[in-house]
Amino acid sequence: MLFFKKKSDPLYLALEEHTKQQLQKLPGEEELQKLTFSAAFEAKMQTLFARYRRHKAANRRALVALAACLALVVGVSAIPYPGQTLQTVSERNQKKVYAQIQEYNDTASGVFEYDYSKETPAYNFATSSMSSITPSLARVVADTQVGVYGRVTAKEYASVGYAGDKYQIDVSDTPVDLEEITHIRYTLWVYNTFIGSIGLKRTIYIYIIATAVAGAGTEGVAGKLKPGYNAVFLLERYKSPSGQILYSPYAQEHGSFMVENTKIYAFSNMQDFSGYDGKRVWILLRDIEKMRKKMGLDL
Amino acid sequence: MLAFYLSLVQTPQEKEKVEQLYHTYRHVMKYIALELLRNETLAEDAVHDAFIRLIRHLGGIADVASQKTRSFVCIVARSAAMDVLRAEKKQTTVSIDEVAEPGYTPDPCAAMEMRSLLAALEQLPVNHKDILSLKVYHGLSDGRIADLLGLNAATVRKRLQRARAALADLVKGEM
Repeated sequence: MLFFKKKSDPLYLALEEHTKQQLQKLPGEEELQKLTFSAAFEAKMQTLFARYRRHKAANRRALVALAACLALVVGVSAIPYPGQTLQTVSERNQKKVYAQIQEYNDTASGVFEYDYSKETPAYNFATSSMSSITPSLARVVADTQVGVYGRVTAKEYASVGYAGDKYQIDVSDTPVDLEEITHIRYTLWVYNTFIGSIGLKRTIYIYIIATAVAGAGTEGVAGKLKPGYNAVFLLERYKSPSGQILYSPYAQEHGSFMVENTKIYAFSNMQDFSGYDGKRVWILLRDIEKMRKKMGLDL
Repeated sequence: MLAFYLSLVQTPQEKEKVEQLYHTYRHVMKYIALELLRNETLAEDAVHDAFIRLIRHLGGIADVASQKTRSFVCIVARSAAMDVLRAEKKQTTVSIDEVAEPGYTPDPCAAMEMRSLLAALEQLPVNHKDILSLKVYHGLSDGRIADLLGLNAATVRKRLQRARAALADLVKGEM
C-alpha cells in the first residue's frame, strides 16, 4: 500500500529522500538572508503575533470560564453575552456625557484629593506628574461593568512610558487592531467571577472605555477612529490572600489599550506599567473611577 | 470539552516556537513565494498567510530546525503562494479537483523500488507531491491537510487519490 505511515514504508522513505534533495536545491542561508522584508510586512507580522496571543489568551479565559461554570455554577445567567452592550454613548446621550466630561475637566484637580496613602503607603502622589496627563484622560469615560465597544483600527498609536518625572509618548506606525474586544470582554467577565470565587481579593477591576465622541477630535487617529467607535483600556490587579499582587494574565501578556480622543496609547504589557511605577497608573485608574462616580455617570 | 480547551492553552514554548519559526523560515518562505509570484508584495502576503496556517498547526511541529519542519513550512508557503496567485489571476476555470473521478487507482507498491519512486516523485506535479508528503511523510490527517492547504476534506481525498494514481503511472513508466 502506498499510504503506510510507517517509516519502513517505501513511499515514506522515498518522500524523505526526495524532500531532502529538494531542500538541498534551495539557495543557501547566506543568499536567503539577502531577501529583505518591507516595514509594512514586519508590522503586519507583529500584529499577527499579537493577535495570536490575544486569541490564545481568550481561549485561556474560556477554559477558566468553563472551570468556573462547572465548579461553581454561579452567575451564569448574569454573564453578558458578546455584543450585549453595543449601544454606545453617542447613540444614547452623547451630548450630555460630553458636557459632563467638559465640566469635569474644568475641575479636574478635585480628584486628586483622595488619600492614596491608605492603600499605597509607598506612593506619594504629590511628587508625581500624573496631573500632567490626567486632564486629557478626564475625557475618558470609565465604567466598571457596562461599556461601549467597537472596533478600532488605527494607523498611528503611541506608547506611553514614565521617565523620571514625566510621561513620554513614542509614536509609531504599528497598527493596533482591537477587533476581539467584545469577545475579550465576555471572557474576562467570567474570569472575574471565577477569581472572586476562589478567594483572591479583587482590589479593583475596571474597564475604562474611551469613547470617541462624535466631533471631538476623532478624526485625529489617521481618520480611522470613527465617531461612536470605542476602544477599551483594560487593567486588572488582584491581591491574593497572602497579600501578593497578581496581575491578570491578560494584562500581562496583552497590555491595555486606551483611546484618548485623537490617540491610541498602547501599553505593550504590564511590564511597561511596572517599569514606570505601576502604582501611578493604577491610581490614575482609581481617579477615573472616582471621577465616574463623582459625575454620577451611569452609562 | 475541557480537554479541548486545555489543548488550546498557550505556553511559553508555543510563543517561542512561533517566533523561532518566523526567524528561521521567513526568508525561505519568501523565496518560495517569490518563485511563484514574482512580486515582492504578493510574496509577503503569501508568507503572512502561510504563518497564519502554521500558527494554527503549531502543535504538529516538534523540532523547528528539523528537515521535516523545513519541508512542512515550504509546502505551506507554496500552498499559500498558490492561493495568492489564484486570487490574483481570478481564474474562473473549474479546478481539476472538481472534475469527476476516473475511479482508477492502481496500487503500484508491490514492485516499487526506491529509485523508481524517487524518479517518479521528481516528475510528479508539485501539488500532488505536496499532498502526498503531508499525508505520508508528515502523517497528517485529511482534515488537517485541508486546513493547511485551504481546501475541503473531500478535495484533499480526491487529490490524494489522483496523486497516488499519477505516482503509480509514473512508477510503471519507470520500471
